[in-house]
Amino acid sequence: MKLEGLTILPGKNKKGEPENFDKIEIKPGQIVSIVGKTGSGKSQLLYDIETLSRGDSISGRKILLNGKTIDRKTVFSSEFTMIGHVSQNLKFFVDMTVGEFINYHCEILGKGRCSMEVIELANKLTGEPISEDMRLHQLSGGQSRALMIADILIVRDSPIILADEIENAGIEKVKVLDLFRSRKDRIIILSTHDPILALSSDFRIVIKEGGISNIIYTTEKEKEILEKVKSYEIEYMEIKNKIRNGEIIG
Amino acid sequence: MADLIIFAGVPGSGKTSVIKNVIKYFNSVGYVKVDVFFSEDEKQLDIEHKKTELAKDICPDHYTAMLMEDFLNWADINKTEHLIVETAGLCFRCSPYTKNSVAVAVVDAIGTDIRKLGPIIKYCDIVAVTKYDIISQSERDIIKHKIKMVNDSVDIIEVNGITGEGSYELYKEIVQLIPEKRKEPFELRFVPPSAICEFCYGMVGLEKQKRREFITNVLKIAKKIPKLNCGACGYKTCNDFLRKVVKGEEDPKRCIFYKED
Repeated sequence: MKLEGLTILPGKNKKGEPENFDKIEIKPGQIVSIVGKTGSGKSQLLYDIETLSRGDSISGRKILLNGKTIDRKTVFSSEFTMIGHVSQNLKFFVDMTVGEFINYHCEILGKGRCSMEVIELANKLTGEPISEDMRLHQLSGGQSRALMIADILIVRDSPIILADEIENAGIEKVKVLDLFRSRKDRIIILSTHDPILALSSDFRIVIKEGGISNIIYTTEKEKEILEKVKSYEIEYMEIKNKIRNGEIIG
Repeated sequence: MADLIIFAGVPGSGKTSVIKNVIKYFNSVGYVKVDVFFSEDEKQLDIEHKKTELAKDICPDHYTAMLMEDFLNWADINKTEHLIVETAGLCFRCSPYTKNSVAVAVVDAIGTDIRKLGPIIKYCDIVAVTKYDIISQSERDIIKHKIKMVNDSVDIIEVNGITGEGSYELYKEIVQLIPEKRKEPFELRFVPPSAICEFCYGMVGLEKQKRREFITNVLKIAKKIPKLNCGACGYKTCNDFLRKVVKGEEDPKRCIFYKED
């Protein structure tokens, strides 16, 4: 299926009040961020998008893919790979090695064995390298997240990627965003508290009390501010790395 | 008669949490929990008509089957349109679903390997996967694949027992299945295995007989008897007949389906 776009149709907030917009259209190549306080409902919106909800979720939103409602059974089948979701959860529970897991996933999705390629990409994102024979639950939070991202990019190869607060993962967020952008026609939706990720998006969806309360297109002024924030970030990362390496600051 | 919805699944998989969320959408519903020695699960449910039954010495799935009609009568007395029965879910050999019920298996995304669960997955209509929110999408793919390996036609719904996400979808799926289930007979979908071995009769000795030989023999014979309960052998059920055969009191060839090697 070729991606033509995603449409969000309004539902209701936690108080049951209707969301105040007609529709939100997201086109291939766009980056959208979802911002709001912790517990405001960002993850629910991501889940609605992931499951292409049909007005049947708690929010009552409808999410259309290429202008159409997709039935639940299609979306929930393991063959449906249009949407990749890098969730906040950092752990694996199934007792398998990294290689077995990735190759099993390849098999389900009808792809050739590609565990080496996935591991190689994951290792570009994480500090301590992952190897094929490591057991999944041995992985650290950052390693798990890196592996999930590499799996979504290579095995699932989804044209729509959802990412839930990737800035918290112990991996380099800007590098991840660049990897997501490696396919130009991809839709990227980021739930985030991070100013760099939020301002890197074409527009941001603001969530309050479970509902979409505003849509803000990134202004020219904000794009200038983004450059400033990025330079702060470089300085900040230098200090962070020095501490990590056991050095003294200043 | 109330429309029956049966929930099964291993202990701790989140059956009560799923029911707690899904039950809110029913206008008129009763709830029966069957457990073995103890259960306070009904306290979690905010509905008027609810009760707990303890099976004690009887296999809880058999106990549920024996009292199912009682439960339905109780629902009729209370005039509830639907009845949810939650089973204890201990033994992977049985499955408590009746043909006229909507059968929901609750499985935990971080728990038992689905392929170990047998008839409660193989004979259900819907699998509700709980705790999916703490694993990655790739691991979810693998779980769904394993469920499909056991039951290809089943409908899989992810339900978050804490926040309730997915419970409305589950409700809608249940309600959609009810009309076709009403036409089905009030019978179990799966023939439950019953007391064939001597331990089921109270034997405690462990050294008195050649057990391995006994087990091999029972399994060999049981495999050849199709559990149709046709009655052609003169016994009411295949298990009655099988017990006699195992004891050497009956000739297996009395079963019209039985074939020698």
